[in-house]
Amino acid sequence: MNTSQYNYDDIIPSPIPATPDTLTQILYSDQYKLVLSYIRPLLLANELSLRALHLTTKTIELVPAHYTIWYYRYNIVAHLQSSKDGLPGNGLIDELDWCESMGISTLKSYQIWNYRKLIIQLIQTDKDYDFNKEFEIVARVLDEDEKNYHVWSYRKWLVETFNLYNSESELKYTADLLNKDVRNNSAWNHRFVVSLGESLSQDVFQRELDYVKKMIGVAPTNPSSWNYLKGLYKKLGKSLVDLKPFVVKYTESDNLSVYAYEILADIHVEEKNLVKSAEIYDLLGGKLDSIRVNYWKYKKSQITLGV
Amino acid sequence: MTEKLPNPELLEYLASVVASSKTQPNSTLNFDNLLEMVESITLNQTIYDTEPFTKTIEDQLSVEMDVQEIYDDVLETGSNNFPSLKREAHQMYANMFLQRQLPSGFSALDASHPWILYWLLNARVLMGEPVSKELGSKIDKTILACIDENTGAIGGGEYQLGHLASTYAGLLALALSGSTDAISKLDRKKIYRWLLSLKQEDGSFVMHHNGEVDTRAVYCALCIASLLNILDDQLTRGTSEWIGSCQTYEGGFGGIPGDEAHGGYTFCAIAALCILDSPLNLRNHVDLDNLVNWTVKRQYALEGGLSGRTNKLVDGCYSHWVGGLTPILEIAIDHKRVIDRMKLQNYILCCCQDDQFGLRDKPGKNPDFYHTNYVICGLSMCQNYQTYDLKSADVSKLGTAYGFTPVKIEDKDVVDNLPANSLAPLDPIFGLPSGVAKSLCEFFVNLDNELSSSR
Repeated sequence: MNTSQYNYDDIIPSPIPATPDTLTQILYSDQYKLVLSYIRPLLLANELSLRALHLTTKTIELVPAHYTIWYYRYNIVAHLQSSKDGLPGNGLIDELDWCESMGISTLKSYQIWNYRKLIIQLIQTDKDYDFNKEFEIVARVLDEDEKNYHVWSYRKWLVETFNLYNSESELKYTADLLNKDVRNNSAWNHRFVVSLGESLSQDVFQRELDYVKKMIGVAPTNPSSWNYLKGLYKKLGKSLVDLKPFVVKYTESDNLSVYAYEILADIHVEEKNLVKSAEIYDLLGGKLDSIRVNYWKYKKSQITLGV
Repeated sequence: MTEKLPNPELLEYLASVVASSKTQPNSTLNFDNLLEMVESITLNQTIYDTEPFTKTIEDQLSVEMDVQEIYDDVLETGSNNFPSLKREAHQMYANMFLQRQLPSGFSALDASHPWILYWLLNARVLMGEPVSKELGSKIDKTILACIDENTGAIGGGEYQLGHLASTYAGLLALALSGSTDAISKLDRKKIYRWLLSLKQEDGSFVMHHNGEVDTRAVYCALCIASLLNILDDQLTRGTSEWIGSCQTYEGGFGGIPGDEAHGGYTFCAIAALCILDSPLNLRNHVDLDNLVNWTVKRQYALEGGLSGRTNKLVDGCYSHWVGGLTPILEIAIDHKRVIDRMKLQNYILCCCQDDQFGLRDKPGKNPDFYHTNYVICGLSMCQNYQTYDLKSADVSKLGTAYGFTPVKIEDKDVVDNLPANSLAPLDPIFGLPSGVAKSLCEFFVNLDNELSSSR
């Protein structure tokens, strides 16, 4: 186990003593067995050292989802950082670089982005770190995996942490992604948080309304943009009625969208024109969106009940 | 002494499932439904011609083509050969991995031992194969070996840190084992203190110390506390409000406030709310109309299967995470048939069964333990409605999560409940066969009643 840097001669390796008669035993590779047999005694002794850090690297490389080892790694890093000698090299920056080097496959795991958050929180006092780098890394990952949930969640956390609501850069980023794929719902969701997550002014509402209308024009059958439009109105508590001319355009045969019909039905309800709403629900259930026939029947029953 | 948890309902059901699945003819109902489904799809293709051809559409079309090919084959073969549940093959798959050591490739799941066990056992029991005494004792040993002495919680494997998801899965595995030996060994006071230590000021929970917050963690924490009868105000203060704040403008729920609406996190959010309050009161905690709207939109016209997010692909596992919202929402809005069960069942039977054994995400994917369990859970949901009785003795004794009763669907227009496909009914909250969670919770409630009366 020794390397040029680290010596483990004093460690008595403790192989996994698989409890007899248990299920789900895994035939570990020799390499994984070896690493585990050395890291376990260190973990039990809670040794917060560089050589222990090295073994966490080895373990996580083999089993990226090993949350206990991630937890241990954080304790090591946090301890060394606050100790007299500190972390070697560039300290926490090296730690972020290491995270990045773990590669795309690992980035799907629940652990790595949570870990990165913890390190960023440790680093926040460090004036030398350029946080724009975080956005570059996130963008690189999203470039390969446009809808990666954890990565989007991390980007949203950055927006919250560094107060980037309505920032040019985030608006441009989502617009770029949506130009590439107008159906990227993760980008729409991110834009919603960036635009409306903190507060909502009339200017922002108008800007987003113009934007989403334009994008609906690009792809009238795209549920993401229609959801955004409805969300915008709901957030502002605005009546849908003034959308009527816009929506009607998309109920014409060469440009038809079931989402437009749905909003039109809501508008008719607001206008107390229940017969027209009911007709739309019949049309949706009967022809345009028959997989949801029972849902449209339910919607119809709701309005006729006067709910 | 091994005392079996009293669960006559389940045992009786399992016996009937096994008996009825032996002899049965195929019906043409599914077939007609599928035919109608395939013929009605003309809209999508033309739209794709006039809108930008993006990666989302490219991926979607590729799945639609695979699925269409399968459905066309089924229709060509004729109504007498409509696919049915390959019960024996899937049971063999589950048993194969329960009986032997797992190859080294499974090291990736080395922090998920309780999950492996739960997935395999749950699918197996839902398919009608009860847990023998011998297997039960092995389950118990496996889970007890994963207990983290410091917290009393269950870790992802031996010598691992207590984790909410492992504790949830481990507890479900112990419930499926059915013996009271192992569950009596759990240190509930310690587990309670641990749960409280994971609770955040805003009402949410972290998965483990220094771990991530999300609605999964909240769901797991509440399931654990409810099943162990240690749920109290201190654990639940602020939690329903926090869950409510995870609902997005689309109507589904993100993992944390602001994150994109997602099937898995939405199920966790809604099931957790049902542990805190009756499903009849769901409207008090969430925008119910928007939630129902988002949920029904997860079903895709050609595939019949469910997706986890807007503009994402269908995946068999959402038959549970999104499909599982169906019975709860049906009670909350007092309207049946929130999603189309027959079409979902078509997708499951035609597209989610591997050629050999095990269940999968979609055509072209390999089967795995996770999908095998959650696709089976979804299929069970297709076969049953749930009723809810807020005034039932179970609700007053055990809590709001225990007021559900499954009712097998007889209406052939809703789903053709063929004996060949018949599964044990699923508990809509805990992800277990009906009755199992109740037995576990009841055991602890009775134990606590005895303790307090003998004091």
